[in-house]
Amino acid sequence: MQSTRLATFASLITLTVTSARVVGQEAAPQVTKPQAVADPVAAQEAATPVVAPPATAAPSAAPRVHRAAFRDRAAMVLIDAGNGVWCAFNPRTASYDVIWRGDVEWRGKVHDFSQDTSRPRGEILRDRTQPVATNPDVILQPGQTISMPTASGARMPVWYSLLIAFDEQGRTPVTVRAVENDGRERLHFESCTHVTSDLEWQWNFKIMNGPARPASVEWTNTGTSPKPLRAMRLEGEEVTWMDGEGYGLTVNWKGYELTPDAVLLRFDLVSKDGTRVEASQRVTAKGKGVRIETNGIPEDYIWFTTLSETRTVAEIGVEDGDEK
Amino acid sequence: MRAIAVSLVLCATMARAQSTPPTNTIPGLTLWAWRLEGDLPRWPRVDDGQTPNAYKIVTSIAAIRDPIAADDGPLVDHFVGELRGWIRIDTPGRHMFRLVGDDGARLLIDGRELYDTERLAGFVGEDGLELTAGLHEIRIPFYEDTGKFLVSLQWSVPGAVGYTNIPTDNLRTEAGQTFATSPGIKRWRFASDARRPGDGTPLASAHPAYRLEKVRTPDFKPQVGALCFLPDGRLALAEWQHDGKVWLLSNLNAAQPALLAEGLSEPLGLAWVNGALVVTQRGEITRLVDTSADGIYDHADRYECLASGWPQSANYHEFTFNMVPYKDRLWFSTSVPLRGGLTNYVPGTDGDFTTPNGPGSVWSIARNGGDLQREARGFRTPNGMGRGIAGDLFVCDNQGSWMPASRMNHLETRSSRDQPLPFYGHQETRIGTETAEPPVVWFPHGEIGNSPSEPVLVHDGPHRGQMYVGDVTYGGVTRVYAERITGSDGMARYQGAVFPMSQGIEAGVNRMVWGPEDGALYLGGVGSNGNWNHQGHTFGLERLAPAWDGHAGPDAARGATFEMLRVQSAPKGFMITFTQPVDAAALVDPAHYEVKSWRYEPTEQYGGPKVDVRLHQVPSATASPDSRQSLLEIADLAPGRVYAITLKNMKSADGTEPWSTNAWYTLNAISKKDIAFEHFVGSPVPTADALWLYDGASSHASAMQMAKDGAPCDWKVERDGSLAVHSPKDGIGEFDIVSRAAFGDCFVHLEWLSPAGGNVKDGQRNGNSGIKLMERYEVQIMNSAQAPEPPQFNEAGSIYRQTAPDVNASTGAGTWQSYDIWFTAPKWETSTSSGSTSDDPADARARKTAPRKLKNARMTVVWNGVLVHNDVEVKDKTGLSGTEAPGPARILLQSHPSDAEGPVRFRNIWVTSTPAASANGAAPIRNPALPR
Repeated sequence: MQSTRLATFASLITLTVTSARVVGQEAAPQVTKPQAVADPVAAQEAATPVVAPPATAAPSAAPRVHRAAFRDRAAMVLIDAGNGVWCAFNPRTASYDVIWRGDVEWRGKVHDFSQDTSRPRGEILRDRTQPVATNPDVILQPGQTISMPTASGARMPVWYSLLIAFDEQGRTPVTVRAVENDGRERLHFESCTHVTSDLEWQWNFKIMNGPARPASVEWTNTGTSPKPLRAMRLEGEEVTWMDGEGYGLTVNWKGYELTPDAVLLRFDLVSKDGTRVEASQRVTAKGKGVRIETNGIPEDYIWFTTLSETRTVAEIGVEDGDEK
Repeated sequence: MRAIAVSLVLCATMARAQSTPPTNTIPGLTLWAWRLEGDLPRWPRVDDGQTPNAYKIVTSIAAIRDPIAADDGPLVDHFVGELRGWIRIDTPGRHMFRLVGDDGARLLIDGRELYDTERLAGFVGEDGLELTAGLHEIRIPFYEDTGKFLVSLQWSVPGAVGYTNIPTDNLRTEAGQTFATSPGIKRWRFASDARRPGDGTPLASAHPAYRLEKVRTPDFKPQVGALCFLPDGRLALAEWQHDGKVWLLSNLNAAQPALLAEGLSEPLGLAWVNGALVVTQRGEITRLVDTSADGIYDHADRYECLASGWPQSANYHEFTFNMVPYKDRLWFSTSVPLRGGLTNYVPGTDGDFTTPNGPGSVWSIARNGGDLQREARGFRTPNGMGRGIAGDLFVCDNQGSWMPASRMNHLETRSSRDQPLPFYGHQETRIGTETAEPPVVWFPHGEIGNSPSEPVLVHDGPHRGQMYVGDVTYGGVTRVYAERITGSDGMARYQGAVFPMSQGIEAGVNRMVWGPEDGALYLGGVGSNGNWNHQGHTFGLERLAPAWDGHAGPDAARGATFEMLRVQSAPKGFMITFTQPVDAAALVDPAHYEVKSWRYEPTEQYGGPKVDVRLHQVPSATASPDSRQSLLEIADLAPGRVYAITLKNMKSADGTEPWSTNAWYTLNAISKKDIAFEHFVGSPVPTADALWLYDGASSHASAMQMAKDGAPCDWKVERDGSLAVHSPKDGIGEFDIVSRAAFGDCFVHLEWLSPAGGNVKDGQRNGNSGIKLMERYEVQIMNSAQAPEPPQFNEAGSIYRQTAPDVNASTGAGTWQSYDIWFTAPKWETSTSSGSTSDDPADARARKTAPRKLKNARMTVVWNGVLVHNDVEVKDKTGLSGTEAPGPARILLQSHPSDAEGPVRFRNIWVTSTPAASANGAAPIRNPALPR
């Protein structure tokens, strides 16, 4: 991970709530598995079928951690604080991507057999996962190119990784390019399509490993028939920690520990000269909210976060009068 | 062409939903169709594990006509299929259904067959079916022989007049299916087909060498992602289910799980490393640490990240599989993404993977974490990696784009990190740019594999030295024999044959592990939606327990089941070795062998057809003298092809049918070495007067003592009852043990296991040991490779540094092997010496007058049931042994420094001086030495 000095930066990023992408899915309250009814043995054993915890189950008292693909991000650390508040911690950037009050809509092959990823359900308290950019749905004519500008000059974040994602309809591919500010092509690929009819939608995506700051992403229809595109977006995992000089720090995720009342996260922050700082964050339920205590960070380190009153202690969703 | 329109017979009781629909459904029904061959005058039955040619969602079932589109061409005639999903009833009450099926169709609602058109002679009176509101499972199997094809279902809802098309929104099917298809003709038969399981059709039960046993209690229904035994005998099991739990199971006859850890993301690998379990979860390798001070490993409260951050997306198909300790590192694998459930991957330009340099790879990390290294690339879905022959790493990959059939690969490790990564076929860029490592074996799709999973080395029993492989969709366990053959590039690579082994397992087999105490093969089952499951089952935990007598030796079960044991490449064809003598006339009659071959070409299509299928002439079949082997000559033999060998009406000499008639040999290169027939004589059973030096069930070897000082034997007894050598650090023989009794002429049977590792060139520290008759005449023990490696005069099977065995009968590192030794002591003139070699002057004077040796010792040695030393003269003591002298002497087991992965182990060591004293009416032990 290269460290990049920022010309300008904001110390706090304003909350923006985004809605999760849904492609042809519908929700149901129960998560159960289909049974092979043609097999009497299976039918007999299925008399008490395995049922995944319903999404509206009451949270357990002790804090727990679930690992899952969450909002199109791999290997997220989902912390159930035990009082109905959840935190989605990104181990690649040591950031709290989403904090909410409610539960998790579990999605994926082991949850509901879908190809989707899990998402929060309930009241969003903090969210820093807004798309970098989106585009309205469009029908691309043969030979047409559409461009989606990305980060504006007012904010020049450093991205750990960027996801270019979109749905497309039809059998022919589109060509996608990511272009830098100086016009150089950063990425060029053809979407992968194999559908059995012109009406089927297919989801395509590409990850660009950071640092990546394309000025725009273009889609070009090189085919001979119109090409519908929808849900075009650029989403990123943003570098969250900087040293005192504004250089991005590399996160070395070390894992977590469970205690009766807390989840203790551990990670190292490594600067460009190799200096390693061992950090930890203790996440506990507090009243109706959650408290995050950070330890081990030098005074001058910067944490891009939506959380904070102070950098060492953050309380989210905690209301006046709440006692632990 | 038969056009038959029927309506349902009245069913008085209201049908309620009997199956549970999935959480997420989309409009339409799923259509599967399989391409068959031949006339279909009645319902055909497709064999289990056959992937459909066509797989899609249809939004209307008002009139489904041919052709049905499929990747390998339209389906017009001779196909069978099924529509399946759920029908949504909005208004409860009586619903009428009108089904048209040409040439045949059935309608099943909630698992109850309501009509089968085959039994219909014409229209049946119209009537209705009472249905509650909600989703009801619907299945419409159909088939087409020739002519026009039509399937149509309409309904009449309560209060309506006449039939109407069922609205698309009332037809529901699972969302998130992966549309896996496979080209080519599928295997099928009629219900009345007389073919038995194993004869061109899947097996139906466990191999007779094993008993299939339950392990779990009925309320424990694990979808097994990983299995691993702890040193204390508990079985760790990771669940590929919501909440990713890891359980510890004790009492493996009615296993009650105890929770160790949870919240993991799709754990698919487990290993015990440095005192804790290491688990592979999606996107991370994690050590599960129990920080409590009670010394009991039973509750993980610290989840330490050992490695993460390899390139990976959140795509559902980018799994992280396996956890295998190998070469002092930890190895795992990743799979490629599939978008929208659609499986054909069409590469475009530069760096086409959604996530570059990550998916479809094998990785390794340091044992304590970190130092993530990419070790190999070009895999598609490498679910299943394990230590196999010679302790090497083998990886199974699953059919799909750029993978015409599933395959097993041998991981070629690089000698340095500067070398390019080995590539295994799944293209990342446009075709034609890279040459892939050839597979060890292809698993022809639907014939013997569909979703192969974990390979394991077979370390005991009749198949030892080979590998077993599980399969999630085809189900069961298959067997792989592999040999190293040198190709035209001068490189020796593994290639070999696949055989059916067992079926009847309660779910598709995802993970397997050998029990350290009972020697059973524990099978973890899994399954998911769509067709990634075996017969619809999604969970399971059973074991295949050895059904042979452990005291009778590892070859005891070999003759119990008649089957092809090995198929080996020969310059003009193949050598087939059977487990029993074969009917002599059939063995040499080419008409009893059918040999077909084809090749595969990787393309962007999902799966690949057999290309250039040929039926080969078999000009000759030459039998071994004992009728256990047949050397087939094959016309037009060519490398780069899969050879399917089918036995036709072949029985054993006593009239037994073979367990399976099929084998598939992947011939990457043709061996240039002639293969001699082996002389298999088997292994004797213990005699009534046998003196047991070690029986494999004792707490210690009381019949043995330390050679150096007569102290009690300090070699450790392992969990399985075997006796493990106390290996010295440097001094050869430092911890030798000897029998308390002394012997002259005798017969000795012993079983030994030499683990993988170490280097024969580096002081022979590769699992080295030996048995010395009279403390002087050694038969070498070592983890020597299997044939076709040539036998050596100082490796396994040799009379050490004197005589190499006639053939290399090794079953390889990590397998139980046996020696049967007929030993004739040297003959001396009358002597007053005790044979002492001490410096005592009295002894020295005695030695000066020691008698002359008149005859040398002799040995006949049978190694793994094969005669390898035929009454051989042993001219002198071997190696560094003591000087020859008259008089009986002890039997010695050697301790030798070793760099192998563990000590050499022994079991079942017995001696008799009177081989004619048979036990329990068994035949006396006859020296199998052949007349000169």
